[in-house]
Amino acid sequence: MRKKILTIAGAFAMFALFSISTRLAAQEAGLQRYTASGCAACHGASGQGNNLGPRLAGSGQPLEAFIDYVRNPVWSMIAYPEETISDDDLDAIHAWLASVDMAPQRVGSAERGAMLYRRNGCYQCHANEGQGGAQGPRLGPNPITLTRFTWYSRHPARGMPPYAEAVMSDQDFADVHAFLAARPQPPSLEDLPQLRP
Amino acid sequence: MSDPTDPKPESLPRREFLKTGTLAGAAAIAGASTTADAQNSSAESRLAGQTGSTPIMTAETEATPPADVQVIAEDERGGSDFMVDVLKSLEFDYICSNPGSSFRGLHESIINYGGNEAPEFITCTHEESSVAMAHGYFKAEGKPLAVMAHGTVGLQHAAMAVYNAWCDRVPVYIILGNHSDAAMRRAAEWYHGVQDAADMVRDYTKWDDNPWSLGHFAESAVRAYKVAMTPPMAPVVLVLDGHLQEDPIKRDAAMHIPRLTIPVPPQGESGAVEEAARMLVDAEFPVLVADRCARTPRGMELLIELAETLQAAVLDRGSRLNFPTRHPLNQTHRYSNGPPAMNRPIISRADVILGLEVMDFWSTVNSLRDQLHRSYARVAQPDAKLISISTSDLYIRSNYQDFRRMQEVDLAIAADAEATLPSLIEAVNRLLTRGRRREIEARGAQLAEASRVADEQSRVAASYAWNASPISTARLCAELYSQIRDEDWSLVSSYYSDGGGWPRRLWDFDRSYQWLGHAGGGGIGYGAPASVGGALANRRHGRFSVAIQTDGDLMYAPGVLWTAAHHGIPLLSVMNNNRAYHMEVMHVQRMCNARNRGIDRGHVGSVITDPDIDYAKMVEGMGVYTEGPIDKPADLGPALARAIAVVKRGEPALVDVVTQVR
Ligand code: HEC
Ligand code: HEC
Repeated sequence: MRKKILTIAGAFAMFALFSISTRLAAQEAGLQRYTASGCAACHGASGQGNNLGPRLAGSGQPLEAFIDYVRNPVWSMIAYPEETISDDDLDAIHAWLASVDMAPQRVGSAERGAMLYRRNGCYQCHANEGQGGAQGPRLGPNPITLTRFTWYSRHPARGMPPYAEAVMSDQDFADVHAFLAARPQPPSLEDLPQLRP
Repeated sequence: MSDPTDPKPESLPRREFLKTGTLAGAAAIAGASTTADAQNSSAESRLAGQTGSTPIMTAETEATPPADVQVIAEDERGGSDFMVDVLKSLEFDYICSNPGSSFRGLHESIINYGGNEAPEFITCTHEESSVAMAHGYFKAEGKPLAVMAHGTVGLQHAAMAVYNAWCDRVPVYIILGNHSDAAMRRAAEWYHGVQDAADMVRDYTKWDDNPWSLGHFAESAVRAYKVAMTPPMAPVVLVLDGHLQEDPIKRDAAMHIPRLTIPVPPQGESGAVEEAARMLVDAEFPVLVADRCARTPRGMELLIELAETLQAAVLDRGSRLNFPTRHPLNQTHRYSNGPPAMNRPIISRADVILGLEVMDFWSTVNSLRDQLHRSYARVAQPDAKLISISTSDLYIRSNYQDFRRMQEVDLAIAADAEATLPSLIEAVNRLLTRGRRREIEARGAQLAEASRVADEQSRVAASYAWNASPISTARLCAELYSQIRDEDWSLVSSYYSDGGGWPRRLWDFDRSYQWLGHAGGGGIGYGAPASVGGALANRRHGRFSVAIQTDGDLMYAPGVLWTAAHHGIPLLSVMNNNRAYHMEVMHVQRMCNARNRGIDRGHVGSVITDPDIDYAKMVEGMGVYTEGPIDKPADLGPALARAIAVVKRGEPALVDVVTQVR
């Protein structure tokens, strides 16, 4: 009986060890692919971000969105098609980035964010509710990751005025981000006769 | 008038007057002229021309009062009556003016001799309003309006609006009163007298003249009309001497009015048009960019024909309505990530780009990055071929820089785009083989699908912040459209913020009078008067005129809404009242950010609050029906419905809507 238990425990341990080692192997492959593909140049050796690109490590971005961005980047990043880097490789990179030990992201206050959003002028171009318009794109609800949000606001690709650390802290951005995430979802088009085609 | 040696008719009464010798000092002059031979008399008539129609004065004659109170003789009429004959021959519908003594002669002739009809005198409360009304009127009607103003103070008021019309290549027919002759000026006429009145606006008008006789006036008046109406169109100025207007002439004087023949605008040279057609037919992804292309409704029909023949993408830069907003080939509202990246997906794919009267071709194919260190990047492919067809290559001025940055192109056709389209379409049809037609069909289908998706995305985008207060600009435009869509509507102005850009994303524009473009020169204060001018044109056609009226714009010269009430011009003004000169708020914010200080103070100096202006109360005082201020979205629909009913009765109405900033 004891032997049996031991055997089962051993099997579990073996399995756990095996899965940890495959995960580690995958992460290692991820790091390797990350470096080989040139991601490190813009996102830092540990995915911590730099002047050329946002922090990717611990951003909390789901895999699907991660892959989608690499295939269809919006601003300065160049697109990586399937031929250059496979979904499996990106999966590995994503796994490695999630494993990097990095300071946890800040938690924002939507209430303070509402004040900052107005006071620091975001409303001017992105409209009062972050819905966007002729002067700036929609920011919320469902904002982009906080890491990219903060990075973009410090390093805008095109016409947006940059917000440097001296005038807006990372915590301020976390708060504005929380405000945008809390914006109500719009009603369904079916319920808006004013918007019938 | 056919014999140049004939004394000028307008100088006859004066000569007779002089001959009677009423004035003591006149004898010497009269003597000189009666003893003159033919040559001398022609010299004298030239002299009379040079001094306008004012008698040659001496200190003595000036100081001697006439024996009699003077009224015009039975067989005479004012010189300005003849001016009205000329204006009538040019078929002006209206003459917009803030009354002024330097043109009192012409004013009186218009209302009495001319019966105040064609042209009818439209009373404006500011000269800027007069000119901007003419600007809006032309774009709705395709016909210029006349404007009268003092040569000095009136034109100074009008100047910004003249500049807007110039930049927008819109003809405005400006008549200025002046007192050239410094002898016998009344007190105010000194302030209103100027050596060269048109000088102030000469850099941004196409032609001006200062006629010295009525014969000269007739020619210059017809010439001015012709010049103004020949593409590239632009404002023109006639300076009318006070005496020329007021001095009597014989009723039966034979006065000639030259016949008006508007020149046919130039078509592109046939070889160049053929080459353009070949480039377009061979292109994998040709893009047609139109800006001031559709001068007339025919322009839109032709652009549709060209686009459909080529199955090519169309981008409408919007200085006129060049292309229906919902046409499947219209790609104007496809954004890569929100409006600031406008048109990129299309321009960056193009291998041939045809610019049709595009005022700013450079920014169509490049983008400038407005940061501390400015930079720009080409959006178009480096090897994309560029063709321009534009009258801007035919005429350029130096001082004001409205010609924009120079764009290198591969083929430049100096011609009127609308006039060139028929031959271009013909050449394209000739070059398109059956096989090629089949190939490009797939392109059209793809574009149609993309524009369907873009329309859908626009509607989804408009649904965000739907219930927010202040009201989102998208909701404002959606509520408004849902109530007018079954009318024969015309959006007479949507300046400066363009309702957040929503009307052209959400509304179905397919007739040229439904969208009247922009101010031209970016001069604020255009929106309100241009709307009233557009509505004045639309009134005759029974169209429903609506303006999206911004607050900053209205405050320049709100009195034009009194003009609308006074003359019964039906117009629904829906305010996009964001309580700020918001464009400037954004500019100052840029500076704050770039300088790393005071990012919470960017609005200082550019907001219109404390106190908030009650536009409904303000405009109500001018006899206009009003609603508002409304800041709750649920109140908007019912208020619009009430105001629409008023406008349908033939009156102006204003709904003050407190909106989000953009
Ligand atoms: C030339 C610099 C550059 C390179 C190389 C680069 N990126 Fe990026 N990346 C950026 C920038 C800049 C952004 C921020 C958004 C933008 O400007 O497009 C970004 C954003 C991202 C995002 C979106 C992050 C988020 O939070 O939404 C992902 C995911 C990403 N990069 C992954 C990668 C991967 C994986 C690689 C390598 C295969 C890579 N990037 C290579 C510059 C780069
Ligand atoms: C003066 C106008 C302006 C102001 C003020 C402004 N933005 Fe922007 N923003 C833009 C424009 C325009 C873009 C589109 C990209 C570009 O032009 O850089 C943009 C893009 C962004 C993006 C990228 C969105 C995406 O989907 O990739 C973020 C994030 C953003 N803004 C956040 C902010 C925040 C937070 C503030 C206030 C602290 C702010 N912006 C203030 C104009 C502005």
